[in-house]
Amino acid sequence: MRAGRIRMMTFFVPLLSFIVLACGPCAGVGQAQPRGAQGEKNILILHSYESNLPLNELVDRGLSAALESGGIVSRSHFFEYLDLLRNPGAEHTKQLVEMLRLRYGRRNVDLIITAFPEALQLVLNEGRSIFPDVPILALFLPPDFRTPKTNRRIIEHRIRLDMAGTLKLALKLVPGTKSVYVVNGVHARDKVFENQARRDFKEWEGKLDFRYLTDMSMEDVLATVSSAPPGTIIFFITMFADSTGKGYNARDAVRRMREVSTAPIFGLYDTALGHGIVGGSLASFERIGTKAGQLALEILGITQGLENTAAVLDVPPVPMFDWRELRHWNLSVDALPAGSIVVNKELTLWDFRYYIIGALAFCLTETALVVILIAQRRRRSMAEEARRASERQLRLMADSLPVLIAYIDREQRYQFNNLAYATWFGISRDSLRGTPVREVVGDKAYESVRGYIDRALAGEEVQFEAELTTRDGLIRYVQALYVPHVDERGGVLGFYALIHDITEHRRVDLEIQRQRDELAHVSRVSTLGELTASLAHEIHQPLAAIMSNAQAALRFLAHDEPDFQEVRDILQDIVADDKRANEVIQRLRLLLRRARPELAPLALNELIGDVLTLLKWEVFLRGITIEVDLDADLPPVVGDRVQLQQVILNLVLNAADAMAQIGPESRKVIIQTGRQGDGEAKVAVRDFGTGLDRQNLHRLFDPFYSTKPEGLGMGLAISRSIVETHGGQLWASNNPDRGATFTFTIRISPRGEA
Amino acid sequence: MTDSAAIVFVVDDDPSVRRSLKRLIKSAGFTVESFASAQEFLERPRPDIPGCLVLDIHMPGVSGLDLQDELAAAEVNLPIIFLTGYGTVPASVRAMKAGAVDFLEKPVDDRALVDAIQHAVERNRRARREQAEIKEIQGRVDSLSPREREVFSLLLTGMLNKQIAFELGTTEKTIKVHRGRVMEKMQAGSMAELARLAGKLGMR
Repeated sequence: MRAGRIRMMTFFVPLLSFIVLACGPCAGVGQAQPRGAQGEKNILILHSYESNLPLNELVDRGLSAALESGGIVSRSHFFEYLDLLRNPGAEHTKQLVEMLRLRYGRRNVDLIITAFPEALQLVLNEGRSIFPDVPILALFLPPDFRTPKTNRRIIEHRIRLDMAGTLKLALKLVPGTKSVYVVNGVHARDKVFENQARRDFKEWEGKLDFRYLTDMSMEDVLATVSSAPPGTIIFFITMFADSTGKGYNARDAVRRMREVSTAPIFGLYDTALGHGIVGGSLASFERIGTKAGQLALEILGITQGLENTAAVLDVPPVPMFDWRELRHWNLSVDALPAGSIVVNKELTLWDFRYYIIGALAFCLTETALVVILIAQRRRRSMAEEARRASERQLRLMADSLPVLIAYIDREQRYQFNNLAYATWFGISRDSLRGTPVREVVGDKAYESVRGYIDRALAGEEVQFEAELTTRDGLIRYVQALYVPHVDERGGVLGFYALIHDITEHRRVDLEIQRQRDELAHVSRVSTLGELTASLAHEIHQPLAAIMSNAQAALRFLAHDEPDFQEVRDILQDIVADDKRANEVIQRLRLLLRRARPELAPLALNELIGDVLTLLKWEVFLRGITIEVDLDADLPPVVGDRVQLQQVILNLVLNAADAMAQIGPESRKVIIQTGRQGDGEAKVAVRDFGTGLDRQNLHRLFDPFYSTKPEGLGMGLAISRSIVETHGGQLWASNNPDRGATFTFTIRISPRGEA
Repeated sequence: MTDSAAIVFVVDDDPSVRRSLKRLIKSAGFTVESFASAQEFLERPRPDIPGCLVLDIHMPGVSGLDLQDELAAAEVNLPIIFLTGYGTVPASVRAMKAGAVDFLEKPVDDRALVDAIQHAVERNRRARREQAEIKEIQGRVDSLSPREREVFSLLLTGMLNKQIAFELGTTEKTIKVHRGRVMEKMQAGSMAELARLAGKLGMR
């Protein structure tokens, strides 16, 4: 029974490993950068807008990394955030220029990088005297921006939003799309992109219904997207300002829409990625920063480009997606183009789906049908309702499973758990996310499993049974499987824990085992009871010898010249006979006592010898000859001495019974031992009786089945039960000539010594 | 009480029991020879002196009872003391019917065993003596001539000389001579003595 559960658990192992591999986060491949000669080069980076604009972070990160890779240390990177959008006045500009002069007037700036046109304009106009002829790398120039004519070296980078590309990807991911809600602000800068959108989307006119949510307040936009009918996608461009004049950065705008939207949102740049857009053909600010940094190194002559240094910087868009959004909207990963970057591949309930379905397979067969239905619904891809239903169903199922499921991260904190998990540990909250393991399971239980946790976090798959003391002091038995979650580079991110409370199973197992042992004991006592006369004889013989010896000794001592040598011999014999009688009694006591079976390495041949000693007289009285054919090289087996003796005893008596009706000259039992395959030994007991009745062969091992009028019919049933508890088999077959052979197998001890 | 002129044979398959019996009997002053099986006992030559056999009733191979039968068939006159184990009543009955001298249950009491042995040896001694006497009388009978044997037989029937003479078709005087020779050869002083000797031979 227990063995059965363990097999069931191991079934998950390959499955889980598969999930772990399939879900492991995609890691970017690092690029080695050439290291050029480094002079003290100063780079000034002027951002047009406020410092906390999400894109700044990405751009700066890319830039810094690239510059540092060229040997320009971060001390030489000067970042300024001019906040010109929120402070359009001339006075601010004036003060700003003074500040810049103060900071950089006497510093040798080798290159200026500007972000967005305002900063470029400032450098070319008000700041001209501070940085007369420093080359400029002008990033994020709108498509319609005209760069002033100047002798200064200006390398331009244009904002390029790949609207057509994103729409194509969106339509591939959401095949049933009928209408596209284009969300855009009312700022002049927004308008430029809206125009582009209208141009780029011409291709789909007639096929798709485009609705431009442009001259709207954010609230109206939210209201509209919250009731978008099925078959709609949201296409977000920019929102420098809504119709009320309120400014939004893309990230915040997307977040708010995502909260209420009934349709997936697609975007055009990576600052919104991870905050609510599914993805698209995105302008990657980080990548632009990196490329700009690399170009800067070329401009400064630190590295050599493949060709002449480009006059313009063009960074192509990248297909990028958010794993969570794909999952949330139930979009097929298969539709993603090759080379897509997928972020946020963090664990969600979805990652547990195989786990859950697998667990269901052995826990609740009926529920498995539901899973199949849901899987079918999902396949039909009825996007919205089906997705939500399946998400709900999965959560419901995970929660209704009697198995405890959790994902624990490297810091030993929960990232996921089902309801059963929390309930089992006596915690009323549904989610334990972020809570340390120790806090949930309690100190005692934690100490019991700590070693396993360490092993799982070291990348080892661990399966164990443990006795846990819960926080309320109860002792529970659990069977657990920890499967490490390993990323592509072999790093362990955490582990999955599947825990099964087997306390009840164990209690039942123990009770069954107890009753089985009890029955075996009763049967043993009853068998030995039938042998009383023979067994008494075995004790009687040495006692008789002792008596005669003692009396002889007394007589010798009464002689005039006592023969002391004779008396000494007598006393030695008395000691030996006493031992012999005692051994028989010990053997009997062993068989008669009611003890819990203990597994130990046993020499099978010796065991057979012990049984035959007890049966010697019985066998003689019945006129039976016993032949043994024992394999002298047989390694020790694993078993309970008493119970195995009982099996041998039963089989020999059974063989003797089978020959009661035949002539005494043919009554012979052959006991044979040998190896059976690699890990087992076998014992065969052969008789020359009348053989087994074919018709009743299948009932042979049934309890209370007996062919003998005086038989209780438990001997063979109990023998089989004992052998099977030992992991072996007991069977019977008719011999080709005459009689039958009963054979049983038993495991060989892996340790060797008996 | 010792009788070194007698021999006791012990047959028991259990070496320890055999040894202890041998010692016990030896301690009582008997000469003892022991055997592990009936076969072994039958195969070995035995001295022709008074004795008895102490035999375990149950032994593998030829059992005590089988041995008893074989000895009877070979007309070996040796009293048997059977030692019985546990629960062997039916076998004991059979042995008794076949003329066993004694039954002792193991573990045997030394006095009982020694008494039984003495009794058996005495009985054997008597039997042997009897047998020797019969043999001697038989020898006297064998020395008679055919005519004398005829006369001897008729004398035993109580016939007078005259009747015998008539029966044999001869004279009373001739019979008288034959009778005198019979009495002489048979070493009988009287008719009563002659009848006793004949009785010993089972003649009547």
